[in-house]
Amino acid sequence: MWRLTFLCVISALSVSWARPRLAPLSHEMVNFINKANTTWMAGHNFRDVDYSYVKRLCGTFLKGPKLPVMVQYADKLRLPTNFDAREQWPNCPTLKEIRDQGSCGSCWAFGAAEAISDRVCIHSNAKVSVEISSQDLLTCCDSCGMGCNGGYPSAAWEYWNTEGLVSGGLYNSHVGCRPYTIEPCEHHVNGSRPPCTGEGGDTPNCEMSCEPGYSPSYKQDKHFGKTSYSVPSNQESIMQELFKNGPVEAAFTVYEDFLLYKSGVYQHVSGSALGGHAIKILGWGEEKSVPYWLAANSWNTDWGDNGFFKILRGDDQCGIESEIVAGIPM
Amino acid sequence: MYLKMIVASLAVMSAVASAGLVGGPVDADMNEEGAQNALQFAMAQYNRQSNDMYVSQVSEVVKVQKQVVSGLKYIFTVIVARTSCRKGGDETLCAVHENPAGADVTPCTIAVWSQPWLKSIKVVENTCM
Repeated sequence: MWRLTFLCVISALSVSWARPRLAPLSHEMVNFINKANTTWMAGHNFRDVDYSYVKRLCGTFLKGPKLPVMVQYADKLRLPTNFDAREQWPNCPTLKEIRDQGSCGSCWAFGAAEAISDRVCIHSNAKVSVEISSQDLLTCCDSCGMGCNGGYPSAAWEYWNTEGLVSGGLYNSHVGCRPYTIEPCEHHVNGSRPPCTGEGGDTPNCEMSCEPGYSPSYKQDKHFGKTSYSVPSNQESIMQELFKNGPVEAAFTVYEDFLLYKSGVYQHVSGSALGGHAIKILGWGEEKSVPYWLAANSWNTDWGDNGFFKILRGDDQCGIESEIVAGIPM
Repeated sequence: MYLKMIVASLAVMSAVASAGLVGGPVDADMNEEGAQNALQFAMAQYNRQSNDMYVSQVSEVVKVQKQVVSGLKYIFTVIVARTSCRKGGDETLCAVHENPAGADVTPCTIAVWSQPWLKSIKVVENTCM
């Protein structure tokens, strides 16, 4: 085990040393990625403002509470080559939604709240359609970690089982009991988002009441999960889980080049690790015979492919297959 | 063999310690160009917005962290001091004021948030402003 880790670190180091030294997030990096003839394209619409060097290798995470591993399905489902939850369950609108976490490290709450919203709808045959509140999870779950300074996806799903989660939409939406209170930033002259004052790095308070004008009460608005579990880190299990029960939450290591993703199937090409990040996986497929996971990020719709992205499937790219959690609604 | 074990366990510990939670800040290095650019941006804005006649600059970096948010955030703990350079003059070679009272040394926490795909960089916190 020790030796394996050592080898892993050494090999990652040698790989990073072998790569050409590029000013990260620069035009050179975009050109390098786009000329590398890889499976995805980087965007040109940035300026070379920031990047950083590796602290973390091999994409391992120390996780919070360990969830039980899900029960393996005895009967093997016949899985299609391409699967998109948005097409499978067209009457569940949250599947198409992209959220924005703002300047807060609340990815863990977003990945969970997004997948839970989808699952509540899917498991009720589209009778219950609700946006589960990222805010409620972010601010009230003490066992989840440290709010805007990071959290554990597994603890988030467990909290849904024990304490439940109220409804709540996007920033300023006035949808649901507790909408998100950390603002996204407006960067476009004629955009619809408010100009950014830059506040919002601090975790908001856990208010156990709904926005004025919303009924039912906070307590009555709680939606509960029945079970939560981790999904084994092999393609087949993850695909079966998506196909049968809907989207899951996954965690992975973000590298510099990921910030520039525009289209195609992402795989790490250039730049160093920035930190751990959680997202929602909602499907899979093959693009030009490259297998991918289809995922939703929480960086608004102007990032990536309208807020969504594809990432290489089958080789635990950036750790994406190794920390998957999910659960079943009550 | 022992050395190998120690190196291996150190590697594991550092991987675990810096990994922590998802979405949490991790230690960064001030030699990273991203960190340097972010701090430079923040100090330029600080000097533009302060009413002081003299240019202030970072005299010591105590801590640097980076965090994946909607984009990337750098969080600096720095000591800022006033130099003897007047604003608008030659600001290239500025030494910290020799008189301690004139130097007005202050610790500051500065956070810089960038979303490179939107060409956006913003100072979201500066406790010295």
